[in-house]
Amino acid sequence: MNKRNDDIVSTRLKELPTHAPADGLWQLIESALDMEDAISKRIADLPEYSPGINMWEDIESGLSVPDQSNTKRWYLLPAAAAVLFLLSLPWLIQRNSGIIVETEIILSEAEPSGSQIGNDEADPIDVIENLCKTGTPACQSANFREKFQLYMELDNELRQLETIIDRVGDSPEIIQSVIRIENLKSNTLQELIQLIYS
Amino acid sequence: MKSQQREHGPTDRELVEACLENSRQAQRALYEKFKIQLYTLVYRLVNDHDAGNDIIQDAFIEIFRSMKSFRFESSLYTWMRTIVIRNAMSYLKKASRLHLSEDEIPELPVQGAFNFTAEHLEKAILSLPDQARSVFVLIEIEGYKHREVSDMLNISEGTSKSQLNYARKLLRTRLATAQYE
Repeated sequence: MNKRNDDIVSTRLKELPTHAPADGLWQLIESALDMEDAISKRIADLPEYSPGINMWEDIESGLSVPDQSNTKRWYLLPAAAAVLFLLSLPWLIQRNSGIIVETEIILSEAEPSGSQIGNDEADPIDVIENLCKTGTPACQSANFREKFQLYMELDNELRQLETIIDRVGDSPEIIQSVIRIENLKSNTLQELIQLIYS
Repeated sequence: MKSQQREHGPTDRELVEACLENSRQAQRALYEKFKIQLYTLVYRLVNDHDAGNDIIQDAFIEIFRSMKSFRFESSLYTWMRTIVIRNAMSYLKKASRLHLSEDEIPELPVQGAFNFTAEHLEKAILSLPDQARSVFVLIEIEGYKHREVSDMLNISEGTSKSQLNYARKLLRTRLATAQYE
């Protein structure tokens, strides 16, 4: 039964009627092609425009103003570092068994007003600086001061790279350097935290 | 060829080297050399003289400040043009003017000779929707490829192609229906 139906369909498919386009279609196609040709020919003759007469003076005064484009990024850098740190905190805690819950609770009690490492709005290095201001003994050690100095130097180096990127654009080498310094910064921060909690 | 260039002023390389030494004279010469080409492109992209002037000003400042990154891997004009287009596209995006539009356009038969001038064509180009006009200008006038335009406008190659077809069809219709003196 099905086979018979298939045969009928197959036969009828061969008998389907044909359809012709509208009589004027070629005229439309031809005129469209002619119009395209006419447009292409006239593109070469399109008019030109000049910028405003005082444009050079505006550019010159713009060049004499120091590049401010970095400013916005400086606001973002500490925030980015804080976010990076907060995201890596679980991993840091897991990796460093020296950081224990009891120690955190004690410090939290000592500093109840927003200076905890886990505070979402705080920059980690600011938190460390605040802890040091309370007289945390670890901050007095030469090792800690050395690491802290290293962190600040890395931070400064990162800012210089940002300046270079803003001035001359980035490149794979510069991006690699930024990542390398970010990683070093992150490791140094981790070491500073370990020293405080040890 | 080089001697011809010398007769008409410094070469691009010489201008770039002088600009890198912060020679204001060289910067001015570079500006004068390319201002019309670049401004014409910007104006066609944004269809607004005030915005065009702002874009050109910012673009030239960026060009001079980032001159160190120009490595002569392309022509100086090509490099400068990229910066100018990026600024123009950024403006259109900020102004939320880059909308996809592809209304159905009936194909109209064109009667008689094509007596429209380049000025008529310019007017028709400027009347195109921003997205379609940007694609048309970049591909048909500036000679970019769909792949490059898709990167610049952050659209797919397919969208770039369909927007070009849309622009062409709109131009044909508008030029066909316009009355010319």
